[in-house]
Amino acid sequence: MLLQRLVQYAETHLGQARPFHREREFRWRLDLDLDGRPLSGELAPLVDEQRRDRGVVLTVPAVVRTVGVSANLAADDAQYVLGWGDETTKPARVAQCHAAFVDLIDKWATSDAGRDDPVAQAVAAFYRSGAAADLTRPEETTAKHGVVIAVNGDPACRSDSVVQFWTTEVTARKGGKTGSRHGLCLVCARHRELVDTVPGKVPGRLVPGASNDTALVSVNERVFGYGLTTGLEHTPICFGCGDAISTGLVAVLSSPHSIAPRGQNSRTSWWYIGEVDDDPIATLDQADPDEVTALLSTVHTGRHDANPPDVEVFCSLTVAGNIARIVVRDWIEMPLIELKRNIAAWFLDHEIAPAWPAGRRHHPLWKLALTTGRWQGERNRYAEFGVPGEARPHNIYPQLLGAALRNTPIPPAVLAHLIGRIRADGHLDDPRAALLRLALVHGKTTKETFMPDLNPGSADTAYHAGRAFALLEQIQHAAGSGERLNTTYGDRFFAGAITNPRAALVTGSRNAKAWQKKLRRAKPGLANYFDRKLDDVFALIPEGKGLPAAMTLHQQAQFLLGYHHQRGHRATTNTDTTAEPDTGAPTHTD
Amino acid sequence: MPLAVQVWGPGALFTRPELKVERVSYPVMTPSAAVGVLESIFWKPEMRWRVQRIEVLRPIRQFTQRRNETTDLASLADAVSGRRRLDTAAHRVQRNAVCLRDVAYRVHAQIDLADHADKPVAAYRDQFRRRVTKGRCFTQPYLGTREFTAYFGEPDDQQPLGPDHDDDFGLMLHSVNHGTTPISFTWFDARMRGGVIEVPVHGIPARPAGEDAGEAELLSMAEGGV
Repeated sequence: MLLQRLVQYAETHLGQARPFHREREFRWRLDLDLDGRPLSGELAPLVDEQRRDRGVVLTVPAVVRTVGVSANLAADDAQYVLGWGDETTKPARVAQCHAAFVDLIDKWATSDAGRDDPVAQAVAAFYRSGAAADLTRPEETTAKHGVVIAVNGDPACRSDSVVQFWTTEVTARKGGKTGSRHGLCLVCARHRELVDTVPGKVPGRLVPGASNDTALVSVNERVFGYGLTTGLEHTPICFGCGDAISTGLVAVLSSPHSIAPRGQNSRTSWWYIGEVDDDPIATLDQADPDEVTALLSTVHTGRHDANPPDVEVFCSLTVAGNIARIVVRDWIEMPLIELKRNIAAWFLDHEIAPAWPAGRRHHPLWKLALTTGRWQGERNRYAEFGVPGEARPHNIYPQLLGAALRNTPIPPAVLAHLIGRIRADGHLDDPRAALLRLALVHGKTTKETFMPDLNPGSADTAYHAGRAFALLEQIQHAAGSGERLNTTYGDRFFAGAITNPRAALVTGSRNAKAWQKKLRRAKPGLANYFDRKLDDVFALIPEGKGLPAAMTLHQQAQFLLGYHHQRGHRATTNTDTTAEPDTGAPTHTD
Repeated sequence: MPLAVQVWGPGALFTRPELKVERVSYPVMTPSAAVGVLESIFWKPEMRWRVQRIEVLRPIRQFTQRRNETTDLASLADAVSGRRRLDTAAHRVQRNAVCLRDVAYRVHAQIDLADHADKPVAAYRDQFRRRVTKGRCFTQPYLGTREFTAYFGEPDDQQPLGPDHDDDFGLMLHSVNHGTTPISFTWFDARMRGGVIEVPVHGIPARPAGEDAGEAELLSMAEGGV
């Protein structure tokens, strides 16, 4: 249904768009009067007011051309409109392009549609008079600069006769070598004139990974087609749908409802069918606390279920480029209420106690994706998307987005990568802890409970080992009274403790005696508190066989969750003013 | 009672014709793929399979894969001539596919006999049932493409997806006619209701014999009962 939805999008969002027209940038305008005489001896420059170095974007008649010579009507490259080449072009080809353009204008002026059109006659008269050769060429013009012809101040391609003539022309060009075929269109299920190739392409800048302008439906190699054929012989699509597919796809991919983080290999765009006021995907990607609360309450009060069934539909398309072809990585079409339920589940599954009282319990999806990259401690931030050395999976964003939209598990490779990064960076913060919990819980049917807050009743030994590690780190920090150490207990043992906490806990317990002795002199109350806590936690770790020598990925995640929860627990419940934020690594920056 | 066989497998790819270069699968099995499975289990020149209904037994789930393929492929005529040499490495092309994961279908079909059939239809039906019971097949059936092996067996009591899974899939491939030049296809308006897709007897031809055939008539033809 993807193609049908794209056509539907084009019809509802773009209205009565002119068929086989595309947007393109123009640098120059050639002004003519109704007799076809140039208003001046040179071209008028067109400059975008926002970006002074760019031209003006206009919607003009255009069809895809790859390597062949194929003129567009009344607005095209300088080499087509005026026969102006540059050092990158061959004179013979430029002459060929210009001749094709002039022929097309003549064809327009003598067609049924253009015969009575004064604009078409004026443009044709200009070329017949040979005035094109007398125009002064601006120095900066290149062969590929767009030139639009205007008659009496209006672009000639906006003339009334253009649509009829241009549709006939494109039909003849795109109907294939044997002329257009008549048959059943796969998209609209009507018997219409069928295209041989889909008119229109998607600009490469909209499709990550594309090295050229791209097409969604294209059979340009024998092995791609049924029975070793090229062209759309066995993929019947009519002209109207073919054009709407391209315009709809460009509109979808360039809409504000589109995400393509730099360095990630895909672009995800989405839209809604029906009357939709809110945008759950924006909530997913921004995690505004008020919006999350509203979403969770909407889904769980059953308000939607009490009403008649929802008719709103959510559509999401994830694409990537493969040279000049569009790869559909994912296509989702689901009722809006199902999407809301899935996103609510996403927020519930990654809710996490913040390390500090002011922290957030829910995190934006982009932030979760960002945290899988390298932590740059000296800059106190994560490496940006797409920068060298980001150490981030190239498809992490679409993976997380897909899991959120479909309520499916996070791939185990994400958890393995995340834990690897936490070990390497020595950094665990709220979003990373949220992603850890998400990887353990989301989309899975398990009897195991993973609480967002500290869970002293957990049956998992690794979880309590993490808690013990956090306590030992806190004791050393409190005993130090803010003095800066070159290497803290955490610095030294954190990475190793994630895979094998035994050695770290044994050493920590031994050192804790000295730390507690020091702390007891300054703050006896705090020392007693740590004594009790440490005893409670170690009691939950059976002596000897409690901790395996090498922990599984699942246990490592539990260790880190216990560590994070214990730190957050102290920060939110202990009102002792001496309990200042940890300064040693692992850091807590959010 | 139509004949029924249950097929399942870890993956499937029923390629949509409009997205067949960077392949995207239909969400469910197509009738032509079902015919392929049935013919690989049992086929005789005297009979033709007619799929009536496809029940979807497991939720529709997807996965993607990307792999290296080649654009240098010999046609049958080239292969027969024996002079054509292939250069796979020089014609490497990478292609993506959105496939289906963990699928199971129950296919209901009828046997249509040709004029020269010399046995009653019951004989062919019994032969088919015996082969399904014993798990015998002429070639290993597959789910859309040969990479995705289909396992098959007698139908059990597993229920199709419930009414929450109603969906419209647009025009779907109904059948391929190899008797025309070039080969031609027929299509039908595929709709899943309660996890069941009813397949009409005839698909909509790509080019109607009479150009004056009304669109409404054609559509109703594809939506008609079995």
